[in-house]
Amino acid sequence: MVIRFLVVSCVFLVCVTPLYTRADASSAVRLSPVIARILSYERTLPNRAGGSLDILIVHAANNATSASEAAAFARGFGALSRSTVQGLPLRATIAPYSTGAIEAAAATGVDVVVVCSGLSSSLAALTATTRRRRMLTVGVERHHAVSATTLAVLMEEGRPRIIVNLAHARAEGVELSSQLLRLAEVL
Amino acid sequence: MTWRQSLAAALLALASLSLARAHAQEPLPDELPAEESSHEGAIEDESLEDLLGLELEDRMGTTSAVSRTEEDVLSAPASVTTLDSRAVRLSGARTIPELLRLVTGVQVQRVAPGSYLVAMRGAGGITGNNVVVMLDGMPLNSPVDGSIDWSTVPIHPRDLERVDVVRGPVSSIYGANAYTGVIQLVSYRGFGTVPQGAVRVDVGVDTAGHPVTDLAGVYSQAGDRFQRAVFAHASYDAVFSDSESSALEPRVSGALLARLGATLTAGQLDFEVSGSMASGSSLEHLVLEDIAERRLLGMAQLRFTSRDLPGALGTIGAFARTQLRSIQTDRLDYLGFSYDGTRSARTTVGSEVTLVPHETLTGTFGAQFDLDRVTAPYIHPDENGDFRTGWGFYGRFAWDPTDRWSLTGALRGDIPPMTGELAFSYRGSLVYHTDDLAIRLVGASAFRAPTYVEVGGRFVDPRSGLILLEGRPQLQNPANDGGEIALTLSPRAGLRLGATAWVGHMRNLVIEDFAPIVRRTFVNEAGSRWFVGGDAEAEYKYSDVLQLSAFVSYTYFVPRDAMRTPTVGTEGINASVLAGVIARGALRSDRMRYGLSVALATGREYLMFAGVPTSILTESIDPSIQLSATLEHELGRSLPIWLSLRVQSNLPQQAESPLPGASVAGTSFLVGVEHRRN
Repeated sequence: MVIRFLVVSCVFLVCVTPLYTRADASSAVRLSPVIARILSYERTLPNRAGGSLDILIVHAANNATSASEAAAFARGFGALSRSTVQGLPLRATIAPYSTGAIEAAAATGVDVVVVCSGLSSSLAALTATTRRRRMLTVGVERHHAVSATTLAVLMEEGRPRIIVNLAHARAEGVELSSQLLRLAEVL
Repeated sequence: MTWRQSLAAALLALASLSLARAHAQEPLPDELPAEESSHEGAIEDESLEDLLGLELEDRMGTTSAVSRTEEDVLSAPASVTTLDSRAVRLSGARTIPELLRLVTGVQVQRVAPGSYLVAMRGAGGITGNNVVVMLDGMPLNSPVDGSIDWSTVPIHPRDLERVDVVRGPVSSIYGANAYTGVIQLVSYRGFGTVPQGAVRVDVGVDTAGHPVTDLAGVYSQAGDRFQRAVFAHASYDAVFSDSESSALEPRVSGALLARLGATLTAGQLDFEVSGSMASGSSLEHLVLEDIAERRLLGMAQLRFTSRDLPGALGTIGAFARTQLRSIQTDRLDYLGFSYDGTRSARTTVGSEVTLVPHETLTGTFGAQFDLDRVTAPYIHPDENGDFRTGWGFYGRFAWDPTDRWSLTGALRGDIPPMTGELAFSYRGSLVYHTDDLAIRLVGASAFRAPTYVEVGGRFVDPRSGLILLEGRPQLQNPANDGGEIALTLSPRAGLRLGATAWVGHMRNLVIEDFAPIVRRTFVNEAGSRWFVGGDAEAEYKYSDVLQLSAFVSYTYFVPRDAMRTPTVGTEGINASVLAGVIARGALRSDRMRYGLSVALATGREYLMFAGVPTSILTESIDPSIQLSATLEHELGRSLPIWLSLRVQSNLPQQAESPLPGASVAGTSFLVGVEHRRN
């Protein structure tokens, strides 16, 4: 009986888990151009960026959902590899989160950090670094913007939704155009 | 069932679920054709509104100006045009009437520096009491004659968050004087909870060498519990201060406005207080002599709106507000009529309750009480200084039986303080709308309360002792019944088109009567007048770099025998056209912004009474064009300083009003420096 239960449960998990990672992946792909377009309203970007707009996508280590979401964002930004934001070519890289990873990214000129799900407990430490290194953070859940990041971009009722925390934006040295703010929920 | 059968059933169910979800969800990038999954070129070519999947309903936003309840602009039961803070800033307007020239269907005439007549839908002429103007819910109309003193509006147009202009009769919502429309001004709110503000200086000159200076500052912070904002501005304005015969008094004005709010457990409490002054030319309707006069206006308002209450109770609200005005000149003798020595006070208290008996049905019921006191040398001694009371009570409902249909109704009864007679007004509407289209059918009525001058005036010429002007207590409320049909649609992304056809029926118009040879008095015109017209609007957002909008409004005064009524045109010119084209956009990552506009008004004619014995004179106003250009550029990023250049040109430069001595316009240039943080 126990064996039957375990087998059925495993089959269920094997079938269902990809369904939900696929749903998150689909959202991430749709949100990638939204994030890129939002960055065109970041008024200090030409100052902070070098010859390109470098985006780091961080995910929770040992978290398959978070890693899958990061991979989907990477694919989404990859599809924009021939696009420019404020005249800057866009490059995206992916890494599991660690303080060292953020510091290393800052050293290599990363301008924007996209924070995937599963990193709630690390947000304070992550944004402490991004604020010190003047990197813009973009979360994917509402509480990300409420508690730490400048932006949160997420799907709600089938549509992308933007949340901006202006206090966090100031802490990261970010200036967002009012053209963006009027389309966002501003905290 | 064996465990193998159970496993098979589970697998089959999950396979079906997988297929269903795969069809329901959007494809992954690696499943997309290459041309769909990738983007080339500047991301700025993509519209953020499109990426966010916003429909026309979302792009047009919401308004509370039409029904005093927040609702979608697209499906609101009246024609409304909204200008946001960016549109206001890039209009180049230094005064609110200059801004209103860029709004569909609003007719603006400049009488003197700081003095304007604003009218809609065939009303107006040489009187300016046919619209209600609100600032953050406070009515700015004078209790004396319902007019708007634009020079004492306690906020600079560039500190406005938005302007909503509602066209058509709306007395069922706002009471007396919402005769042809309502203009709602909303002060700057800013974004989020961080402190925001600006300090700026503008200086300029017109082509005749007359100077202008504007100083302004604003601070705003909206926390979760408390909200506060302070606005201050001062202006010296001699631009366009030449009349056809002489130089008019320059306008010096200043204002302070404070807004405080508290979010309580029970609801939201807001308090606003303002004080403003203006010194300048006295020239306006009835006043034909340019005398330096000082105007003071003080206002205060306390409002409470409860949180959503349980059950069928929606919200409960209450308000109290007061308005004090004074007009004074230094001269003791002058020719003709003057508002010198006018003191007025109006205090209003009211409350309303909103009921939600069903999720598709909302009803609002309320009442208000007005207490007026007016003292002035031109008021009959029997009326002067009396306390007068007025009442208003109303009910309205909105029913959305389906997602597509909306039915609204409103009924209001008013007893204005001056006449003491009950007047009813109504509005009914049926709206069909989708996310990208709306068709609206509206029928409404409105009225204007006769003024203190028209009803209780008695002006004695200080030189001869003759009574030159006398009110008539038996005057009835002028009324305006109207109907409109409107279509708004978005045939493609970024493009909005709108068209409205309307008809208005005005009766009991108050006209000046010179039957007693010398003494001017007032009378209700016998019979009624019909107006028909239409508005067409188009708005297209090509990109953040270029947004275009255009409008044209046509008003036709149906001719009547003799057409002797002043203020509504003549047999010779019984139609008017207003049109405008506006372009604006942002460059260099929004560090440079521009606005270009042209507003056109065709010529008009008005009939005026003058002379002894009285004769009717025809006064003509030539067609006019107002051209404006604005350029703003941010200098630094660490210290956000904006430089601006504003140019406004009026072609031709003739006077814009039939009043003798009205000001002549030319071209003005302003440069500005602003430190802004938002």
